[in-house]
Amino acid sequence: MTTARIWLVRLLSLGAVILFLWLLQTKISPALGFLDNRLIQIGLLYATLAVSLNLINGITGQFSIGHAAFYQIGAYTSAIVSIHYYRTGTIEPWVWLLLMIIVGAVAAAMAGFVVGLPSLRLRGDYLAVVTLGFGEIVRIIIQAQESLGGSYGLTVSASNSDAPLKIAPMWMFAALAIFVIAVCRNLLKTAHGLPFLAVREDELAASAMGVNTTLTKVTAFVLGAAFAGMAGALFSHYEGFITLKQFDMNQSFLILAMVVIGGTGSITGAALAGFFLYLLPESLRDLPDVSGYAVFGFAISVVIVLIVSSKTRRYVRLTSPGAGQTLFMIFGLVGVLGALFMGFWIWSQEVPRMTQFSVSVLAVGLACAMLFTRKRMPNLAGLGWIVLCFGAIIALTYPAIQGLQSNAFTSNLLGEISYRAGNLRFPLFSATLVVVMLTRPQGLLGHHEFSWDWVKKLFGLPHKSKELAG
Amino acid sequence: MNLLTVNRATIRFGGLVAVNDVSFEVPQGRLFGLIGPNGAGKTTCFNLITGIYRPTSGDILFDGESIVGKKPHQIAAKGICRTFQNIRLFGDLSALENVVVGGFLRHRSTLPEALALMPRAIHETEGLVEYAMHLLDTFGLAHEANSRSRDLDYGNQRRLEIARAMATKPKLLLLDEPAAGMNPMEKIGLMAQIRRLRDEFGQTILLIEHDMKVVMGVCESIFVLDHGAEIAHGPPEEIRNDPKVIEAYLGEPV
Ligand SMILES: Nc1ncnc2c1ncn2[C@@H]1O[C@H](COP(=O)(O)OP(=O)(O)O)[C@@H](O)[C@H]1O
Ligand SMILES: [Mg+2]
Repeated sequence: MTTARIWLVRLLSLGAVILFLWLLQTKISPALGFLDNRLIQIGLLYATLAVSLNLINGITGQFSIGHAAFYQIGAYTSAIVSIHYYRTGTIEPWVWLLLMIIVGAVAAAMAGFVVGLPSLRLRGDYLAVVTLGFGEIVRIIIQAQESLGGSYGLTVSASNSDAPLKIAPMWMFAALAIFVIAVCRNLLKTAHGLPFLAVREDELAASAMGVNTTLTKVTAFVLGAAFAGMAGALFSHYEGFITLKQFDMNQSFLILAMVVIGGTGSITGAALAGFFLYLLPESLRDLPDVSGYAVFGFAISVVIVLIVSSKTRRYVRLTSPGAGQTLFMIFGLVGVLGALFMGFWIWSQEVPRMTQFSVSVLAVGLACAMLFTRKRMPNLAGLGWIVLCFGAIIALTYPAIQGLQSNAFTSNLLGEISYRAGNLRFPLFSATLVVVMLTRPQGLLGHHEFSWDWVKKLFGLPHKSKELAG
Repeated sequence: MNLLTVNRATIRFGGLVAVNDVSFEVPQGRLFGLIGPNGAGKTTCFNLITGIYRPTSGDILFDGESIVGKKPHQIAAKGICRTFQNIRLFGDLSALENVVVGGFLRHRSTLPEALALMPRAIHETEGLVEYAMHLLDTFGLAHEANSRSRDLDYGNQRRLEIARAMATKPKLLLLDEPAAGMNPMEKIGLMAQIRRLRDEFGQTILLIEHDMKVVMGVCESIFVLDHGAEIAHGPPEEIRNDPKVIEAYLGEPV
């Protein structure tokens, strides 16, 4: 590529991003309700966090599991600076917020440097324990500090007012996510990304090839932490009030789960998983209450179907053409139609716009992936198999419930129990994680990245073969 | 001039003396063979030279400068690169990416330039990819450029390791049993290739090989180790008839 062309592409993409941010801020965001705005904003924050952890865990292969600590350091540091130095009316809020994002990034980067140092000596699970311990230390230090709000929480306000500062606009969330994704993408697009990947693959061989493994690992920690710190600063100036619980170990594990599910090492996977895995449990908030019988009946039938299907799977010919494949393809078609119907039906339900939108996008995506790609026959048959399993689960649930109700022992145990569906969303979320990990241990996208050439290849269009991973 | 001088190098692992008072010199442009039975300490010698282990005593000079105590990546930057006896490719990366990692050692653009995708970083990457493709071509691997290195067959993995090491533009190339596990036909092909590296590019090579016949065919100078210590040193004709060498390789035809 010539230099002039690089700059032209740069300018065009920058223009497109600015146009998108402008549309988002002035057209899309006002058209949505408060809840939808919040779902998008926090979803984008999680995408940012997952992509930043992916740089450490996925790309550089350093098993760090205390990522919420960096997020927290960014949030608290920027909050304290605002509380002491920000005066409303003196400076444009979004300019101040940009400054605070830099403050959060620097503070978290320093912490990332400190945590990165043990990674020079520790590997795998040992490093994981250290990073986890670091997260707890940060939390406990803040808990013991009254000036930081302790366990009550900290109101982020200007120095000349007591009102919580809520100055983070929608466009900033999108801009931060785009920025972090772009920086990580750029890293992998150039040869500079390869030492990071080499450290992940084989540290000794990397050092023998001249890779400064020390520098590489610390750089990954510093960059990843800085990105999380930026997200933290944005978050504290969005909520106007921060508490320890928002940065606890659960938070770290949630971010980690997003990276693992998206496909460790894939930026695309981390970003998508970060956004949608946050949306999934949030969308399940308003489900109706269910009885204990239903929950346990469902669980029993899931277990039965999983066992039976894993035992019979190898007798089912899904990939070789024949009568069996045709049969499963019909089931697959039913699945596609069902998904499309769901994508249509959801718009008549009382759920947040974001949920409706995501369900439709996923349904259309599934339909396209199944019907128009090169490997559509085995894919469709594979989907048919999953549809059949789902059908079996639903068919089994009813008799299982009946059985539980008629048995004196289980009806004594379960008769009184009723679950608020809102509380079931995390078990459901966890079950989703388990299923993904069982069926695709490398994560949804593996090491793959989104690229137009990949899409073209998928749909059998002419494409150029890839060069670097990026 | 001697490119590499190993001067009375010794390393102990607890009670075991893996390399015992070993001294040899590798002159510029030479194809130098390091042989000996299994467990003789050949790989350990490589680990000493490349900085993975530090000698308990003795000195190692490269280009007239001591490299003892330097980090492996610093030694690689000085111009020593190696392959591994038990193949250590970057398994999930493509063959091309593996070679680019080697070439990256000589990069000039900075990390911020890469993160901001500045033209210099892009052009440098394009140059590295082109150079890596050229190297893959030299080793007959061009058609596998985009295959995951873990999926290559054994012989190709061995060749890819050499290509990756060559990408660092080393002054001294260390090859640790590059023909291990290959069939006789592949072995002959590989040895011809190693020979060409020396003849066409003037590459200085230090070669470990278990198979005596192979080494005799290509090296002009051979050093024989047994139980960590030198037992013979000289041109192939001398080594072939040395009674100590014959004894060390007891029963194996030389
Ligand atoms: N890191 C180590 N710790 C303990 N012993 C080692 C270590 N590395 C090599 N050795 C021992 O040193 C001896 C020489 O090994 P090596 O150099 O691999 O032999 P080879 O000539 O077959 O390459 C062997 O007995 C081996 O067990
Ligand atoms: Mg060996």
